[in-house]
Order: sequence, then structure tokens, then C-alpha cells
Amino acid sequence: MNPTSNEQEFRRKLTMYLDSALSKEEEREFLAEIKNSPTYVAHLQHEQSFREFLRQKISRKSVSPALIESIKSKINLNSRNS
Amino acid sequence: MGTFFAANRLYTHYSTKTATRCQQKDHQTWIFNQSNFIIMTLENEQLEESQMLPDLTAAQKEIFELELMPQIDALYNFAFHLCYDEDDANDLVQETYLKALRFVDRYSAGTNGKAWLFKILKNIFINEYRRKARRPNQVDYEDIAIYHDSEEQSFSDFTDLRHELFQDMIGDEVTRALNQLPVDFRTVVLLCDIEGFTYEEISKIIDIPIGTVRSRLNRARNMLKEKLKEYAASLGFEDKRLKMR
Repeated sequence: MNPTSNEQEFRRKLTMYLDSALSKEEEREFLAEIKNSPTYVAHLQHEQSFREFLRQKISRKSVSPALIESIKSKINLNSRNS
Repeated sequence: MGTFFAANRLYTHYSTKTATRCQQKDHQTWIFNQSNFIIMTLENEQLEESQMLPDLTAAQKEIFELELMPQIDALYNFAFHLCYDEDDANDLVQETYLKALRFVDRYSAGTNGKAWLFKILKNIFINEYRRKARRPNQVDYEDIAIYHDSEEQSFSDFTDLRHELFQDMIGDEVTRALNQLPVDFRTVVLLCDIEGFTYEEISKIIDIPIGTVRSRLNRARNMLKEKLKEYAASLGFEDKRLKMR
């Protein structure tokens, strides 16, 4: 990959690679293209790390048992009426 | 918003969250709470009657139990990050399941129940909650930037965020940064990076082309990095943008 002309293409492929949007063959080609570029490999690692960071740090809200029961009761009530 | 059942009909009213049952007689409606106390009386015209609820078959009940109810945590998390309000998120999730109940005959068992529910929730949010949830210091993405929402342009900008800058941040800071994004950007990050939907699934859930999903995701991640950088800078960390060449 020519780093002077294909920077935008690298970014596009990097994003698609990390979003699992490349085919297996495209993934292999992408990794082969960047393996000799320490800068591209570093970018890949930074982006991987950032995605993992987001998954770990963004708080997940827990649903209340009362809401679950409320929904279940309405579904069950409807079934009982049938 | 409250939802009530009476005689196999679902009613909704927008004034209370505590009602559980209603009874109608002589053009008047009595609304009861869980303790069976009358908490409100309404004239009939104040009450909106929705469609008859379908009778669930055994197979449809199994769909709810095995495929749809297990998605409730993910749905609630998505709803909360859209609304910033626990009561609204509760209502949004409940309405999503009630709508799924009404339209369950359109769902095929074993297909993508999670994506189906997310699409229902997103539509309800857009139709009923979005205006209420919009905060005064924000504008919608479509209002300001749809004219350059092209995939090509989105990849001309790429914000790098050094690991050293964000590794010590705690969840509250990251969640706050995400919640500061306009809702259209926040939505794609939640769907892709938190819930793991594919571009194609996101495209169907929010009704935009796959290319727009990609560009919006790229912009959203850049915006999130910029917000985290600002936060890191406020703590005295220096940003050294990694150069590609």
C-alpha cells in the first residue's frame, strides 16, 4: 500500500476490518498490505484498543425486575384472555 | 405514558405512569393503581384506545420467551442512552414489547429478533420521544450536516487518540462524552460498538443506506475521540497526534 496516496483507503479498510465488514479474503489482504508498515500497524492497534475501551467503559444500564414483570404480565394476561 | 388493559384492549394515556387498570362506564373512565385505588377519572374522549391485542399462539409465546424477552437488557440500555431518563426508557421498552406483541405475526421465528425489536424501539423513539428528549444545547445531525454526509468525505478526517490518553479514564467520563453526541451519532456508536450490529443491520434499523452508516460511524467516533481528548487535556495530558507518514 502506498502510504502517500492510499491513506484514505487505509482508513476505510481499517474501519471495515475492525467492524468485521471485510470478507475473510479481504481481511487477509489488508493485514498483508499493512504488515510492513509500523505506522499502519500502530494505527490498527490504537483503533483496536479504542474500540475495546468503549465496550468496557460505556455504562450498561440494568433493566428493573419490575419492568420485566410488568411486560411479562401483560403478555401473559393477553394469553390468558385468549 | 401509562398503558392499561381492560377487556382485552390496550389503552394508553399520557398523564400517568402509575396506573395499572381502567374501567369504563357511562362515558367516564376510572384509572386504578396497583392497590386498586382510583387515581384518576377521565372523560372517554381523553383516553386513546389502541388496536385489539392479538391472541398469542403457543409458538408466538415461545418466540417472546426464547427470542424477544432475552433482548430486554440490550433494549433498555439503548433506550436509556437515547432518553437519559429511566422512566422514559422504561416506557419506551414497554411500548416496544407491546408493539411487538401486536405485530408478532409479522416476525418469523429464528430470524433476527434483536434487530427487529431495536427497529421498533427506534421508530417509537423517533415518533414519540425524540422531541421531548432533545436537549436545548444540541441540534440534530440532519439539521446541520446531511449535505456532506458522504462516505468519501468522512474518511478524509480521522482522529487518532493515543492509548495513554484514555487508558485511565473511568466509565462515567466516557459515558458522558457519548451522551453529549447528537442522537444520530450516538445511535450508530451504540448499535455498532456496544451492541455489535453489522452495517447492514444498522442500515435496516435506522433506515439509512449502508454508506451513510459508515460515514456517520466514522464521524461519530471522531467526535467521541475529540471529546475524550478535551477531557484528557483538562486533566493535563498532552495529545500527540500520531502521524501516518
